[in-house]
Amino acid sequence: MPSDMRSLAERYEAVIGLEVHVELKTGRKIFCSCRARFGDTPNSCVCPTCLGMPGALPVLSDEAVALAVKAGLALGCRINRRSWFDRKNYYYPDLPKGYQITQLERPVCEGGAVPIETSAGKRSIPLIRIHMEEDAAKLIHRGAETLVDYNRAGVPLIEIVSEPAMRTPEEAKAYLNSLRRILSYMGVSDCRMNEGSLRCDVNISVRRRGDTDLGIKCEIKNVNSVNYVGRALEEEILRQTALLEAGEEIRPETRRFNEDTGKTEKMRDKEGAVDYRYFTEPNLPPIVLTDEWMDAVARSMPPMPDEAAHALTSEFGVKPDNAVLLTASVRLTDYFTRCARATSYPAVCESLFVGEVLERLDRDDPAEYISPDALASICALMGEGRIVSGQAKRLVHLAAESGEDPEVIAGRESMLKISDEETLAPLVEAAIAASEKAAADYRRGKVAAIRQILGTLMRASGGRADPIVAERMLAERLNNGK
Amino acid sequence: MNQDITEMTAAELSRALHRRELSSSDAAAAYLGRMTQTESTIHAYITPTARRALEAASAADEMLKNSGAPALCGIPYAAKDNLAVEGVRMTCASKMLADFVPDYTAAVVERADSAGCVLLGKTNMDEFAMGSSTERSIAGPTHNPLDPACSAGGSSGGSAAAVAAREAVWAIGSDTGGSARQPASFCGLVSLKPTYGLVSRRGMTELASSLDCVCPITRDVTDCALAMNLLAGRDPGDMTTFDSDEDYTLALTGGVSGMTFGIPRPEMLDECESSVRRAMNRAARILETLGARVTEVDLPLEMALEIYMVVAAAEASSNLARFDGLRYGLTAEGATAADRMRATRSAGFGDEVKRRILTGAYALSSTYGGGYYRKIKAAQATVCRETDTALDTVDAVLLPTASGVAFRLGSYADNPTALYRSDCFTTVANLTGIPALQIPGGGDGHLPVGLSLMGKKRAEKTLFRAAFALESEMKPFVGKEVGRDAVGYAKPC
Repeated sequence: MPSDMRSLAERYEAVIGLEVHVELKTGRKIFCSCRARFGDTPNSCVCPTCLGMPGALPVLSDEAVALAVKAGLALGCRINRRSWFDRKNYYYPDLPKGYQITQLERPVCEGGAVPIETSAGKRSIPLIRIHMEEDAAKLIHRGAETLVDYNRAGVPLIEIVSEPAMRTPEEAKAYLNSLRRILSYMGVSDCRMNEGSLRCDVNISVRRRGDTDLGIKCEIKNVNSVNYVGRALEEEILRQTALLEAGEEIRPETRRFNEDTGKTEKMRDKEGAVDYRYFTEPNLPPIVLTDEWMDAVARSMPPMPDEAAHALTSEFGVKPDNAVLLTASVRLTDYFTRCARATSYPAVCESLFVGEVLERLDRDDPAEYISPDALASICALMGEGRIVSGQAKRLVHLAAESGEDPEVIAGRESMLKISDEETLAPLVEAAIAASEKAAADYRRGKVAAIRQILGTLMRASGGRADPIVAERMLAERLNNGK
Repeated sequence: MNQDITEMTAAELSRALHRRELSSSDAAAAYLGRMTQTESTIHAYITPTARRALEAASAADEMLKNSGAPALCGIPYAAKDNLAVEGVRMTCASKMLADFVPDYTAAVVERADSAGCVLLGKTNMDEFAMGSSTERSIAGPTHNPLDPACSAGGSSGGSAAAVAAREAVWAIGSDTGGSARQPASFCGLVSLKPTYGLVSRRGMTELASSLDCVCPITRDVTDCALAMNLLAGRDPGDMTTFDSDEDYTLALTGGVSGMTFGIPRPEMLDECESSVRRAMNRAARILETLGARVTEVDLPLEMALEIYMVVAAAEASSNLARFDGLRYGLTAEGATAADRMRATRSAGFGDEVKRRILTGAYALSSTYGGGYYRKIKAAQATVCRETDTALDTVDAVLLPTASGVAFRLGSYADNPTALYRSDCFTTVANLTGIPALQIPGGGDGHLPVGLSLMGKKRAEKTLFRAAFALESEMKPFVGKEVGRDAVGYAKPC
């Protein structure tokens, strides 16, 4: 950072708040039973309700409410036992009814916080609210024409609104990552920014350090990756700081992040705000959450992902980094746990699972790649020193693909380790013969040269020679033949 | 049978059909025949569905071969053109939907279909149910069968005229501020605006969602009870509905002895025509003769009317936003999507619809209204409280349905908003969600006068019981004072 920039950073601070829209993973729309899935043929999942046909009425999905409440419980929100929907009226081609059903006056959740960890340590970013609403259709701009895909109209969303409590792009990124991790683990959403199941609007203002009043904010709409959020914020902080430093005023604007230039661009002025003519949605009675219903929702919730990661560490000694990887989703944690419980070599299991199995899985929704019992027999072969790690890795995939007993495969494919001296002896002789210079070096006292001879031997054995036994035999043979 | 089929009430026709004295196909043919005679003068229908009717009738005849067929099985009826019927054009009497054919069916029509009812067609109305005369229709006005120079009322004027002209045994209308009761009053018929939530609105084009009710319009109180047995009950597709498995026909008898009725103070009837005041006084006397107590009550009618106009317009401005020309209905050309919406809405909506959308959007607007709508909703809560208080002391309230008899077509052409006042006795029921049952109460020597019984939420049975008792006593007066060859109930004795 150039020194003038550094001094600016010392004199100014950013105030950042995020509005995050998350698609609820109900598989159905919020007010009709149409399928909600990424990648369906455009306009194939529509009905009178989500197309806004005359007389079509909304029926609230109980599952959508349950997921919104789960999000609220996971983030420590107050759950409003009575909340309701409002209509937000505006005309836009992506809005079939000419209004969006959302929650303005009484959202389902209020308060709460998102825990984050940055280079500065741990802190909590407080939330204002979480409310439910329906998604709009998707506009696809193609040259001069615009197409509308109503598959997205009516997809259930929650909007999570943070307090303007973040100060750096790093905090904003940490906030998004933490939110994604928690919400995907709770099964609330896929949180895939590239598919639009998590979308982020960024509110950012800059003020002189020490000021208590907030500066004039700009909103950067629809930034679609965590990294872009970081870059958009860095750019916008520079832009606003430069304006303030030059004595100019910040104009309240809606901006967008241009992924090609890495800059933010003005979309429109925020002045003359749209009048949304809100009023209570008359077609939906208030949502009243009973004790029984709340208990059932709370009972259906998994532990928080951090707790789950801790549990893996304490039960199986999983390394903290791996524990995070293995708690991407409840189903992944379950799968790993079943594997780890099936073996008496949990460390081997961890390494094979993270190294070989994980890459073959959909982490959000893993199908069983290899059975826990098969993986356990491979762990046992390795733990008992009967197979080298390279072969064990291969065996994982062979066993996964064939479904055969790994021991049987290992025997048939000659994958087991060669550790008896009788079988190794000719390999030892051949390796020394093939490595004249290295053998001479070793004998002159350059002990490390034995690694090269061992490498030759291992290659010749197809990786199957027991390296410890082989190295001992090589050393003995070289020392004896001095 | 010597009696013309079209003169029979639903109850009478039901008996004949279940006894296999008549077939549903006979009934359908009789009604379709009647329609060809009278439609040119009355114009009750926008879209007749003759072929569908004949098919439904022969299916109903099959159902009637078995015992246990539903009461209204095989009986021809009509549905207002704001109710969706799959494959049948639904215009809402608007240019906006002149060619719109829904691929879904309203909940009440589904119920009627599965009970074997025979849909004769879609009836005329004021555009998007905004109006009280059925003159604001792309299809032109409906004429009152009792005097074709007069209005059949509105907005469900087509449904009422169809029943009164014997072009349907009964009909389904809708009522947002009096739109079914007032036409029933003008045509000498019975109509119940049920408790909000008793009948599903799914598939009914919304005007004001919190006030709209689907209502039967029938020849007498018994038919109304039969129709309510068909229409009432929870629909999982309309979250504002509630459970009901009443048999309203069982609630008819029992009389009014020992019951208490509220009537408005005389000054509340100052604006009414003398025939209306006479009918009110007579009905009150009849109730007393039958052993009921009659007492004056205060109802916030004036306040209700004013609040109604704002709430109805506000919700309508939002409900009608979907007509933007992008997915269905009229589509006008425009360079941008916004231009296209503007052009479509300018061309597709009539003046009254535009007037209410503008009023409603203004009322909701935070810039101009400044919390106005919030105040209106608070005032609505006051109206509900005051109405509850009035109803606490009585079993039901007796009120005129309209301040006069049917007016001549064209009377309000120069002063459209003056017609709003014709809802002054009816809107309180929509605004508070309570039931109101319109019955004929007499006439002015030419045209019928209507009276309404209103009760607490879900007090339909009380209303039916009182209405049935009054109907028996008032029938002779109605016949004499209307003195025209109308249908069933309003026929001279």
